[in-house]
Amino acid sequence: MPRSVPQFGALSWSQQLPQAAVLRFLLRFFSRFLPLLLWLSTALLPCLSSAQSASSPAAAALRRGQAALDSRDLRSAEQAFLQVRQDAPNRAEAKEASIGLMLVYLQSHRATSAVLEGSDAVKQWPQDADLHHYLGLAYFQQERLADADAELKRAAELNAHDAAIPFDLALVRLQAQRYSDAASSLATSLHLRPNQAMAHLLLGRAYQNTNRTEEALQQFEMALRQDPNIPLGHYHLGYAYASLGRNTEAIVEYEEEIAHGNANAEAFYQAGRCLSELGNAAKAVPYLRRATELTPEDGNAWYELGKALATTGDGSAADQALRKAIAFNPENPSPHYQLARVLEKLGRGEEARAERAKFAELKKRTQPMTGGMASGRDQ
Amino acid sequence: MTTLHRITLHRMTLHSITLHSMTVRFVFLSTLSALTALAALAPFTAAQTRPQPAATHKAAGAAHPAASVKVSPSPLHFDDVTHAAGIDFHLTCGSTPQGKEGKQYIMDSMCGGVAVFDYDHDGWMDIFLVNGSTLADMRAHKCNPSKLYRNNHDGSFTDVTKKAGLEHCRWGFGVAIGDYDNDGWDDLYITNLDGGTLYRNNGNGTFSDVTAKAQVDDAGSWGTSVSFGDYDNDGFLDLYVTNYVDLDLNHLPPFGQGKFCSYRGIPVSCGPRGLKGSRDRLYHNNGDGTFSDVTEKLGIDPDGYFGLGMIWLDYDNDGCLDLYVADDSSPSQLYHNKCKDGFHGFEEVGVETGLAYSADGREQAGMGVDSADFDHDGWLDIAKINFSDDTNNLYRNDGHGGFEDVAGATAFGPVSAPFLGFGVKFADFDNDGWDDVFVANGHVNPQVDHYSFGVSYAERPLVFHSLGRPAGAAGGHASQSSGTLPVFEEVGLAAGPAVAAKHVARGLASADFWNRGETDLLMTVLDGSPILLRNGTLGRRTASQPEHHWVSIQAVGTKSNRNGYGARVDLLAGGEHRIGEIRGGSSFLSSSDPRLHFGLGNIAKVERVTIRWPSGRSESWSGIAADQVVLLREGTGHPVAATTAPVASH
Repeated sequence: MPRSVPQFGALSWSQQLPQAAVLRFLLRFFSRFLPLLLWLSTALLPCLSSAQSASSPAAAALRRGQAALDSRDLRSAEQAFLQVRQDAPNRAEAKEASIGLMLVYLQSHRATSAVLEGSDAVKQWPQDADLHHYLGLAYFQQERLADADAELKRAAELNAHDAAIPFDLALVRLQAQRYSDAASSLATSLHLRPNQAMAHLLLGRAYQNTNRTEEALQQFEMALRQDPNIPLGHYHLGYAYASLGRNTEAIVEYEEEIAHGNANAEAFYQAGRCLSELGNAAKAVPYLRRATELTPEDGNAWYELGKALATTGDGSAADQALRKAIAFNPENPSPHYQLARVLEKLGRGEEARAERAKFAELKKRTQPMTGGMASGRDQ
Repeated sequence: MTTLHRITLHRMTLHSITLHSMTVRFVFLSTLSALTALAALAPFTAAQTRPQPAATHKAAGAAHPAASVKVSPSPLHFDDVTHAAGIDFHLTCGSTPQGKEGKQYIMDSMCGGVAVFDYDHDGWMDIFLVNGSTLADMRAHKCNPSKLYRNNHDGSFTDVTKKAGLEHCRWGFGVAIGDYDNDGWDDLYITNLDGGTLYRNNGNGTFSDVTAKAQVDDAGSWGTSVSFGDYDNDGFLDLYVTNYVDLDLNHLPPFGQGKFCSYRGIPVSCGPRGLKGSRDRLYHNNGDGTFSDVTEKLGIDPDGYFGLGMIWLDYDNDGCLDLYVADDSSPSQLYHNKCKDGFHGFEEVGVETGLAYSADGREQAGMGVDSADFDHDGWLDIAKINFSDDTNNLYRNDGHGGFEDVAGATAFGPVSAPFLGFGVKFADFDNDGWDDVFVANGHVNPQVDHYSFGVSYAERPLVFHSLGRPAGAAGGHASQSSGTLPVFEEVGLAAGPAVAAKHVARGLASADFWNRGETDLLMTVLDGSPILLRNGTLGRRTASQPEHHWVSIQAVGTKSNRNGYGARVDLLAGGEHRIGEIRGGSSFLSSSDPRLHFGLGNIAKVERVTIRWPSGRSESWSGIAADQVVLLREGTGHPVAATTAPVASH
């Protein structure tokens, strides 16, 4: 059963993106064209075409496109950039217009258009790292992770100094569950630009998934040092602690995450589980209850709540919670097993036997998929 | 520079893979119980299903989780006296741990049986260490001898293996001690990779292989833990042999190939999942030197689970031995002895009693087991030791036929998550009246040392010192919800250098080797020397600390089996009842000092000892001075009315 996505008030990538994206585009434009303009104006070279470019219709359209992108008027931006390409198909402005178009397409979720634009552009300007970079992002949006990886790798070869490229490459690899490769890319990004809290956080995740928990823990700590308020920083640190069996420290971090206002169902859920593991069911109950309030369709949260309630001796409440867990996750044997135990204690032997039978039936259907040895829990 | 990142993350937001959704979508390879919810979404990460191409080696100096634990003075202390005692044994077990494919096959990691018994009746505990072998040695008929060490009464031991005829040149695993023919001399059963061996003690310092005559060869199976117990109370010890995997030595599963040959995505030796389980065997003692295989008749282990640990115990206080089997990666089994008005067979009640699975209904990799009444409520509880990425179980007997895992509430479980345990023993190491627990750890996959997820091949033992019942808590029936359970403190790092050090430990037996009232330990180590741990706890107590007393009960059956296995002992001291059960086999592959040791704290006299014998006879002895081993022979006490109900603590 899929777990629902926790609600994070603190994360606002989507709100920040358009303005930031345009800002970057403008920076890129001015960084490229200002020297050109300065060169034109100061050297007074008799290069008419170049001299014309600053005041040409193409240049004007490019500026309009930038402005439209800045104001999030994607439709106008697209028209302006298309105009640039039409007016100056083989000049530097056209390359910038391609990048502008790709930004427009990426932001308007037109991945196919972005890929087409980018594919044409990299044929025309194969040595431009940014084009490969953006094309990689377009592929990423299409879930074509191998293509995205290839383009971002090419971008990194062409520009080995931009920390953003290996960072994005790492995201592609994380999505592809290529954690070791992702870790390598994130390490490169951090080498180029140290102190990126987010990169440390993601590197920690990559380490965690490659059996390098202790190093993951260090990365999470570094992320928090860089940005004590980084969303999910304490959550991740708590997770690393707990995975090393250091539940007490994990609970502190989960509680810190919650105290930072980054509260999400996962933090409550994990804190509750850790407390349950430590035998403190009474304290676990409110955390788990809060997790079920935040994600009322989460069968796992209901299950843990039911288990904790059973431990506190509140069989009736446990019964209810476990039945909710079963309703949301009917194929999971665990709630049936737990419910059978609760019902037995409540003196409802027949129902307990029925639940045990259901448990046994589901058990037969859930064969172990991997690993030679059972650990009693997921690895 | 953040722009691109935000584009990317923005895109991820739109596709529900933002950082926060990654929280639930990515599966951490952790030992954490919290994984269940995450794994429900994305059950297997790449690292679980295939090896990561660039898995890096553990960072230099990466701290083991234990290293961060604050070390405070330990109330328990052990000294390694192995070499001083003259123990020079080396445990051979399959391929070496070195190399990419170290410990190539599953049987290469499971050896290490040890038995403690008084083979020569001199009143001092002797030692038998079971040796393994290698495939090459087996095929070349090269002997890696097991060893019998005679206790010299002066702290040293003498190797008397050859004289005793116990070299036992097979690939051995577990060992059980019991006087199967009631001739007064303890006999010895060894499980092997290819069947079992029964050695009869001839009473003159030698042993004879009587396997064929006794008909207990275990049909060529790979046996692990084994133990004698008289399940039908007929006065003769029966034999339970736990079997593990049905291996074809000529067609062994290739290392690291296949979905059952990985751990956390790391290629390792295969199994037990993916291999065929081997059915356990129960042999009934016919009383004439032979046994009958009653496995099928009594419905034992019909599914052939991967058995590793086992213990005979009377969990429901009805005077008959029940049987608990810890299975690896399959449900553990509790066989309830239906013995009202005679033996009527067993019923398997593992699921019903809560002993088959983890609290979440998952199979565990059960290894060693032991039993004691750790909370003094008159009912035997059970400790079961599991794989890493799991926590050990402490099952509290609720007195109503069920068990509850209180490992968390007692601080016994959570600390064990990075450890892979095998041997386990309850014992009151400081004689304060509360049972402590010693757990011998060591991973099965040396490959884990190349990673840094907090698990290592060699691991330190865990030593749990019981702090007793919380102050102010009433006696009687404690419960998890009421907060009245005794709590443990893990003190291994401060319990002496040999205990704080890492070992690849397996078998574990407890004994008072020097008859001084302190429980010592003998722990076997894979591909190495065993470690004889002399208990130095009491010697380190200061003069200002009150003296701790003890008493040890040696039971001798007459109508019952001579070892008195299964005898329920009720000890009344200081107005408080304590219970224990006479047994030899427990832990992993091992058999311990059968004398039942009670720490008495500052109580210097035992008011009364009552024994309910397997024969059904109950009798008591009064006014027993502390600090001695007391031999109590069946039929020499004051008869008391038989009871099957437990005696309350207060």
